[in-house]
Amino acid sequence: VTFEWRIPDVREIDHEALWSGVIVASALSAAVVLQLAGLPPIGCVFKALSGLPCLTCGFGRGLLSLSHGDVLSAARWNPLVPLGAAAAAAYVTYAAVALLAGSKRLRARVTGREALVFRWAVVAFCAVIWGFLIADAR
Amino acid sequence: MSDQFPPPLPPAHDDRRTGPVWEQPGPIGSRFLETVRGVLLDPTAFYRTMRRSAGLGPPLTFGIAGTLIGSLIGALYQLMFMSAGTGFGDVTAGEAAFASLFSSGCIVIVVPVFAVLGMFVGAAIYHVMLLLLGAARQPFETTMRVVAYAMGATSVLQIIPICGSVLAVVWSIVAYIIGLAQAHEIPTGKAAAAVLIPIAVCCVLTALFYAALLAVFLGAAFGGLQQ
Repeated sequence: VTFEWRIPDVREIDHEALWSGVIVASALSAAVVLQLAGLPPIGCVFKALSGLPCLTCGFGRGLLSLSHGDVLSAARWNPLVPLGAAAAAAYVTYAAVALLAGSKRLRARVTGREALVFRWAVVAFCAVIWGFLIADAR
Repeated sequence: MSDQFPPPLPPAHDDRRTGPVWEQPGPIGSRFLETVRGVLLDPTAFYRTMRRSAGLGPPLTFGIAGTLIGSLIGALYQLMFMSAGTGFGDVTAGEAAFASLFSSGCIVIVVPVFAVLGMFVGAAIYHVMLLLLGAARQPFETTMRVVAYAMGATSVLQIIPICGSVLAVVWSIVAYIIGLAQAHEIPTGKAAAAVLIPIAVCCVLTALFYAALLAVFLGAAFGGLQQ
């Protein structure tokens, strides 16, 4: 993997501005919706059919726990919640620094083989999280 | 397969791709209707000629316009079913909040915000899936354009009473698959996998689909009982 700090192509989207905006707006919208209406009354079809939790089961309740500052409970509902929140917070911080610092952006370049390894790592990560949810009898 | 990831940017201009009618000059109403017709009735030709990198502004405005029209009419139907089917006396807290939102006119502000977030998040999920499948032959902008035009056009289907929202969900999935296949120039199977795997894995959209289906049947049943 090669990391480079460069000025993006003029045709490239400014991902830092775009995704930090989307993350902040999504977080604010979720906070407003949870405050006004609570969790939506949607059940998990996969769990209803199979009896097993899906990969995102407990996500809404985990978000609710996290919004109350209870990280452990959020991780118990679904580990993706605190991990995702931490990743989002780190990205927003980086994006804010990059946007304030100037026009250079951090970009990663990987070979096809590294991309393949990354793909399988993502699949394995999801399998581990799913295994935890099943083992924990969500 | 390229040994570089992400792949290099495509050429800035492609003569075969002249863009949808929405991005051409002309009366806004006819451009909108012609674009909706293109996505709904001939998605293959529409996405085969769609420009892949001409900015996010036009597809976003189209997506917002279509979603706003569809949501307003869909909300009107829902309100009619609520008053005709269950009455306002025993509505749930969510329904009451929704009715209050609609009556206060906030929906005009809320829907575009959620539509934009939905388009970006949806496009990001599909693009990550394309990357994981090794099928992202174009940058994120192309995926975003596919999703925005598909979402805007299929949302208009909500003007059909009773089954409009279900039709919109089903046809949007079809439009995403065809659009990603044509815009990224990848096999339809890979495009279908990129769209359907998140639905199967996350099941949130599946749940929404079944909830909408249930709401339609309940609405029809309550409507039948009232008569």
